[in-house]
Amino acid sequence: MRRLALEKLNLERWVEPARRPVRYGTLALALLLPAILAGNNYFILVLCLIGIYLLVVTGLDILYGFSGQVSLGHAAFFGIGAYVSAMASTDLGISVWLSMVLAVIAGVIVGAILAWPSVKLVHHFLALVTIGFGEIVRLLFLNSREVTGGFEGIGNIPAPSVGGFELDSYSRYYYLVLVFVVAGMVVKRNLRNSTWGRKLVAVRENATAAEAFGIPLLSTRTIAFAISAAYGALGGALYAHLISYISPGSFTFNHSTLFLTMVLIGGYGTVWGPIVGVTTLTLLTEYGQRFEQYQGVFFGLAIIIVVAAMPRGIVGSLEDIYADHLRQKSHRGGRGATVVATTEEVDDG
Amino acid sequence: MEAFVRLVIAGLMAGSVYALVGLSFSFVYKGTNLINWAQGEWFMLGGFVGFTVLEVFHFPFWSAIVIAAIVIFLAGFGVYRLLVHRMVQRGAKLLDVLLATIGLSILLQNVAMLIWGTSVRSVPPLLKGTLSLGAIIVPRQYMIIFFTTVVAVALLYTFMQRTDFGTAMRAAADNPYAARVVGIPEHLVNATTWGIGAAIAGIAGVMVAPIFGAYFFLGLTVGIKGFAAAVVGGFGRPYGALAGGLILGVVETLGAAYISSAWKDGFAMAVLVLFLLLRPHGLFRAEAFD
Repeated sequence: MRRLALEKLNLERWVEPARRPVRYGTLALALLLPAILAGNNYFILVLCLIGIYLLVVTGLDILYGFSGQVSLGHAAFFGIGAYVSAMASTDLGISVWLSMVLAVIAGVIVGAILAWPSVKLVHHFLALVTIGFGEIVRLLFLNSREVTGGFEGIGNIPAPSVGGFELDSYSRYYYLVLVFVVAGMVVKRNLRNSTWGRKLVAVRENATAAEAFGIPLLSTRTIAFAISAAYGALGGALYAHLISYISPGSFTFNHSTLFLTMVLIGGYGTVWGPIVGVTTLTLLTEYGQRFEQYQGVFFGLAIIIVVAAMPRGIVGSLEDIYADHLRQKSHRGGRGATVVATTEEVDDG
Repeated sequence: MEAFVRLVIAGLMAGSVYALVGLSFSFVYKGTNLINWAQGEWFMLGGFVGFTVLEVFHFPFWSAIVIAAIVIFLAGFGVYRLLVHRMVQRGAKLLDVLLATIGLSILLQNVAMLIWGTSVRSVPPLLKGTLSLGAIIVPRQYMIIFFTTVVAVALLYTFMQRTDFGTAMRAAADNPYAARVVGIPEHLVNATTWGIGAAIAGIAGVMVAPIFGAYFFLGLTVGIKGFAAAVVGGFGRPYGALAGGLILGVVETLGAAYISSAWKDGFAMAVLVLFLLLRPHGLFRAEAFD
């Protein structure tokens, strides 16, 4: 019944022409938001946070959605980026931009080191390695007081500037974040359609078959981990210079599960999934503080429901319904056949 | 030397807690090929059930153990029937179940926080006082936990190897299809396995509550350490969890005493990561490789 009704709707007549306008419309809205909300400083801060989380979650999605590996310690990469950039720009007095580069390099190195031996592990055991790794990194921040400031953390982290133009207000900083987010998403999208992306997906679907085709498991999975860690570390660096204060409390196991929840709820392996997941959950946590004590209950239930009933998340499920619809059409010899091929190849909005 | 022996004994006592929780992880994995991340949460809930029975209703200690075992068995059984069973039927893999039970663990933690609050609830011990063996002094409650662990491992091993139900359990894990063909009610057996696994962790929670107190956040640390114990001993082996837990407890206590007490929790994590990376089969062989 449902399928019949969907078929009559002629979905593709609406969806296909809408893809481009929706994409650029969202970008235009993202560009204009600080102007629309001028004066509402807190909301602009929340927007910056959404952008930063979006980077981290996009990176996590490259790992989980493309190569099928789960990280439950992504807050560690977020933290490594934040701490490296903060320490370099305060203690060492290096310029903020260079500090951020150092942060990303540190993230890539740690990510590759973590991935290199763990590529042979079954995925669920890998997930548990990353939990241990995340906790060790958090304890490192907490216990090396001389370098990281221990429990009190690091304060007075400087804001970056572009040619003498200080990015010291939230709305100015927002555009910096936006540049990175858009760049990060374009890279992810192109990665998906590149040789590397296809290798990653092949390894996710069937590691043995992929290896038989000559795809090196070790380097493919290590690179996925390193790229993902780079996104996380960049997000962390941006976070440190936005908030200008960091402490170990911001990089806990709870943050790691929050990042993973964002990927799962939005839908893995898509460009729109992280946008939907991050925006909903960040707005919920920031504006739902009145219901703070029920937030954990909500998160727990959300994870269970999505994993059990909607494994592809919100965006993934919508895509599935649409792909299903097109397939139904093409079976009847409609003109959907060619469209099916393109949507499955591109696999995003 | 005396201090060293004392530390080793303290480590063995703490390790027996990890062993018991690790045993519950191993048992569920052995019986259903799945990992229930919420085992630590069953432990935490066991502590709160113990607190409620002892401090609110003032029942004797043995009834707290029985009530916790029954309540948490039903909870574990229910989670399998209502959630995991459906997921498995729809083709969910171990990783999906792991993620869902991470959600479950967050949910249970927060529900416990809403019911019992954020403070540590103290629970009276079964046996007060300490036992002195020469210069070495051990709290009696720890002795009970240690013997519970040893007895639980022996009982479960016998249960798995010698009883019809244990055989059915192993059959259902080895080959679900063949198990159904010979008339084993596979899903009922699996749900019971989850129930028993939950009850083991719950009993551990009641036993330990007089020492750690009942606290909503306890499940995460104890859960990770119990899991590490199971990995060190070789995942899925009952005796492995016992050995792994004891080793972990001793390493942690010695490390905290001689290296740095701030890193106490870090040693368990390091052991977990190192073992999974370098020796995923554990000390004895188990299946952690692709």
